[in-house]
Amino acid sequence: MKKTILLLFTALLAFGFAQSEENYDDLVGVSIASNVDQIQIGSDFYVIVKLNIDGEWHVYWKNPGDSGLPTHIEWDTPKGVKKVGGLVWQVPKRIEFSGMINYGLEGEVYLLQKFTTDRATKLDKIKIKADVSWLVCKDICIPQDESVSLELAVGDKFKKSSSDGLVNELLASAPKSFESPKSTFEIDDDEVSIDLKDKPTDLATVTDVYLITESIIDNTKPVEIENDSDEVEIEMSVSPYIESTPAELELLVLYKDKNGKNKSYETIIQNK
Amino acid sequence: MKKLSLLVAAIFIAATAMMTAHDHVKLGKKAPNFTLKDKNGVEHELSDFAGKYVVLEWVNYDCPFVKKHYESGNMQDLQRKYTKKGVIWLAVCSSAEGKQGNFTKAELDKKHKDMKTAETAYLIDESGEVGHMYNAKVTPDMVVINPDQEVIYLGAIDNIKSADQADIEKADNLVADALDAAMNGKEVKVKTHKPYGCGVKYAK
Repeated sequence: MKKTILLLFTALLAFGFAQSEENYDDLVGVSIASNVDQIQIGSDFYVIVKLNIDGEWHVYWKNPGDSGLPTHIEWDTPKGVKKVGGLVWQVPKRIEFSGMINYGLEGEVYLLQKFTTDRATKLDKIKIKADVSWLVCKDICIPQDESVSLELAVGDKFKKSSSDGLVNELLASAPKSFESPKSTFEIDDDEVSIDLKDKPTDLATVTDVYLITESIIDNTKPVEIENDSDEVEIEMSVSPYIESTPAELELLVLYKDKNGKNKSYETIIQNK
Repeated sequence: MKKLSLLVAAIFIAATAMMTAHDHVKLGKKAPNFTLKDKNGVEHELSDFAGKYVVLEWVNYDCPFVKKHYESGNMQDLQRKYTKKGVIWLAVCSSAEGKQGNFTKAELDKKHKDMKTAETAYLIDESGEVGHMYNAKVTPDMVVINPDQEVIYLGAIDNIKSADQADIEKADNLVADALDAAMNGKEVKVKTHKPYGCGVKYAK
């Protein structure tokens, strides 16, 4: 009996030691790929940065929610290669942690960026470097960064890469960009009310809404959605940290289309 | 015995309910009063400091965002500068027992000596009661209270959200701005800004 206890104690000690010496270097694996192996100057291409995150840990979406920091990429490209639009993000998850709500991404996280090449620039190859930085959290948080790079050949022919299918899948499932010129929002002491008067033609019901603009809503309070025939009304609680009513509100809208398929779009509503 | 535990449980639930019904912090309103013990076991009540400016700083020395402001010396500089001007600076730790940032007195004494901190007192809020009262979600989270005990600033230490020390000098320190304005009889321009940092390690 005594021996067993001693053994158990030793095992516990060893476990405790292993825990305190935990190595966080392998929590997130970073890789880079493109949809092309070779391109013609003047055409567009995509670069994917993939973060492979250890189970139970998460990184943050562009609006991180109550705590955390958005995952960030600083691109280094040759002259004549330019970004088209911003990073394409996957739809986030609400992650609850001791009374807070964060907007995070877990598991295999893909960040997609479109680039274009300038016809007037002579390049014999294209080297793209991504300095990726992120905060990875579970019960504790660790800031990390890593640089990854790739080289694309330049030639007369366009050659797809083995990641072409993945890029197409990511583009198909990513939120679409949608204009909302008629939609409005109002912010009073307690509530943020949004009236979606513009809707994609295939929209049946709005199922969820995430604000991309930070510090506007209390993330811990529920989002109320009322789907009417001609408009969708959304109500959210105001954040205690709101400074003033913003000129515009950027949001991600999740919806079911008329065939019951999950879709999403991002839109900006002007304060009228 | 069972009945007694049931009674105790009922009282506990009632007490918790009363606690949650407590005042919550609101910008421009009276700061909710509280009493907490410091690392030496000495009690401090917020209302004792009426007539003075008070800064509350939610802290967890193992959080990368807190480290940013301590390893650079930024937080200690602020503490030193304003306590010299008569400001009461209360560091508050709401990390529950066994959670990140919850240190023993010996560990705290060493950290405070090594980092040359200059807070008026380091308060222990293991239950998280005061943290919840002040809606503290992250570390660092800052509250500035005027001599009338009204909340005049609530939120982030500065306006560049990062864990990078190099950003400190590029940022506007919103706590210093609020104190400088108010202590010179001017209006505080930025009264609130969403704080950035690690989640407070509350008891579940």
